[in-house]
Amino acid sequence: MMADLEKKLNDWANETIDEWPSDERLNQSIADGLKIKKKRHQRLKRTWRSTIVAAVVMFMFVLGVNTSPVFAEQVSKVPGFDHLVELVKWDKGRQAALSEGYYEEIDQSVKNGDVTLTIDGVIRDQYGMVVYHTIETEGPKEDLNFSDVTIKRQNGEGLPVSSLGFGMPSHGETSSYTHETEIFFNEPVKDTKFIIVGKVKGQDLNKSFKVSFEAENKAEPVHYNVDQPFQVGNEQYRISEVIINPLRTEVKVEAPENPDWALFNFEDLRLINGDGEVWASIRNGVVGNGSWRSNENDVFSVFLQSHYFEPTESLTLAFEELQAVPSENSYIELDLVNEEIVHDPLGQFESLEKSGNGFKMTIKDPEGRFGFGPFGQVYAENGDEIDGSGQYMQMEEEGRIFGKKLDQNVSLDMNPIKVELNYYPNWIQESTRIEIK
Amino acid sequence: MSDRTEDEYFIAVVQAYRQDLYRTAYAFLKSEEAALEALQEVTYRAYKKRKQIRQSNYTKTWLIRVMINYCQDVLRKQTRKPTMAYYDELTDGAEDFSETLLLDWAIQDLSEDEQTLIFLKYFHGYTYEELANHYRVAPGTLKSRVHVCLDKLRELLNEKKGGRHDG
Repeated sequence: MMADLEKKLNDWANETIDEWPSDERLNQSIADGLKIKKKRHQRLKRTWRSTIVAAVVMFMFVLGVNTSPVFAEQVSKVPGFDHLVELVKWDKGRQAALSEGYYEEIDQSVKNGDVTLTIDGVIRDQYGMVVYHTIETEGPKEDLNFSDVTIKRQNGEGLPVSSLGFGMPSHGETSSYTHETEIFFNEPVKDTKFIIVGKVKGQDLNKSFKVSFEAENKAEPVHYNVDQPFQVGNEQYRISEVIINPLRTEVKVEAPENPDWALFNFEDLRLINGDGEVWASIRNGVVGNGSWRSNENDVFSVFLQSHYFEPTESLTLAFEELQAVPSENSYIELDLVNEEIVHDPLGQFESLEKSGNGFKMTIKDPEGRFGFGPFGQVYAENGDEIDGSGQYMQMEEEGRIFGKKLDQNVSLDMNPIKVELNYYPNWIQESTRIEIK
Repeated sequence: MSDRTEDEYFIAVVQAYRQDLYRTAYAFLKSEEAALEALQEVTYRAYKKRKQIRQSNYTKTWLIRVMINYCQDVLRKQTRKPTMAYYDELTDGAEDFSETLLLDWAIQDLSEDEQTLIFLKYFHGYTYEELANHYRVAPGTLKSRVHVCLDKLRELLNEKKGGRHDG
């Protein structure tokens, strides 16, 4: 009976579509998807809820949903924040930061021709800040966005920025657009005076802006001295400390000297509260000061999104899986002259091609689990560093292609090159629980 | 990454799964025009949540789920389900209903989560193990969820067949 139904389902699944549109037509529809933002926006607004529900089922660790009227009321009392409420609707951490009074109103405007950029306010901690800004134009414009952002100290010196998120451009024609820029640092920043530089872009619009502002770090980090071991293969690592800041939670990991494994990523590191719910989880992988390779005194940090303001009786640090390769194997060696892969730790790359000054290869990774950015520092045959200007991924029928652009052509005497790995599609299971509170 | 590169990268990711996405859309919406529109819409919906793609180990499944969800929205907004048209027009015997049509119809009466599960399992051929990983549950749990769906589907199919005679 069951088999009969399953057979019907299989037949149903194999029912052919009489006429397939051409691949070009399908590709065009997909490319058009980004161009139709304007007309679709209103309609989508009505249907977002169910889409979000599906996403939440899969990515509960990403989204925290709270649309309570209590929150809306609390936020409407934060000076200068009423028009920013939409932006934090889906972010429990940000909402908590606001409710606790950690939003600092700035309201600093700069005008360039008929465009005004206002820095509305900031939420910050020692590792980063979220800068809320509003763009105003004289006439309505499409795709308004504050991009190419850099942040500096007041004296013009650079800051140790580890990541910058510019956000989405505006939908449809508008003459006022409020959004946020998320900035994270590699190391604690004590400065309170900053200069933010960037470009307001949009339809027929590209203007540079520079705004000075002051933002204090009002939040005291909460420290937990953990000092608990965990195993990776036969080796013992330690979680030395967990530091909870409003925007990010830092987990300090102590690696053994000369570790057997090059630990690229904790795939699912998370903090679980007393009710067994995920309290904080990994957002962008290992970022910030170091990795297993660049660690100082064998300590490196992993950052999680933070629920700093959410009280909890107990906290347990948990993870199941680590992305890693044996450390003596944490590189690939490429012969660009003959387009041959000389060394690949577990044979995951294939079809090496020279591409401009750089190279590209397909990756096997049959489950499609692997993310972005496998390539680190590149060295010539004699050990000299070769600078690169970035890496990319392309999706093709035959699979995913990862490539890296190099600043100079690899001549015969530089060949073969050695490329350190930052990430690699290999995982080891190490189900681990560490109580920290 | 500049906006342009990021957009191009994103489009390339979705285009790599164009056939899976189109097939899914067509199964729900039954017309080329509607399925192509679905591709546009889903690209836009997915774009808005593209950060999740970077975090997802299951990009293809994720995109298919966004597509199924979109199709469910479309059908929900329509005053009648497209396959109901056949039911309204046909009053003759069983032979006028193809098994496929009945199955389509019964599947649309499952809850949205159940529909998604059936689509991923039978239409896209994911294994129990892959789905268990995707839903982050034990394979046994996943298997029994599928079986519950199948039981319900069988009941719905019987109802449809019975309903046809009454209609």
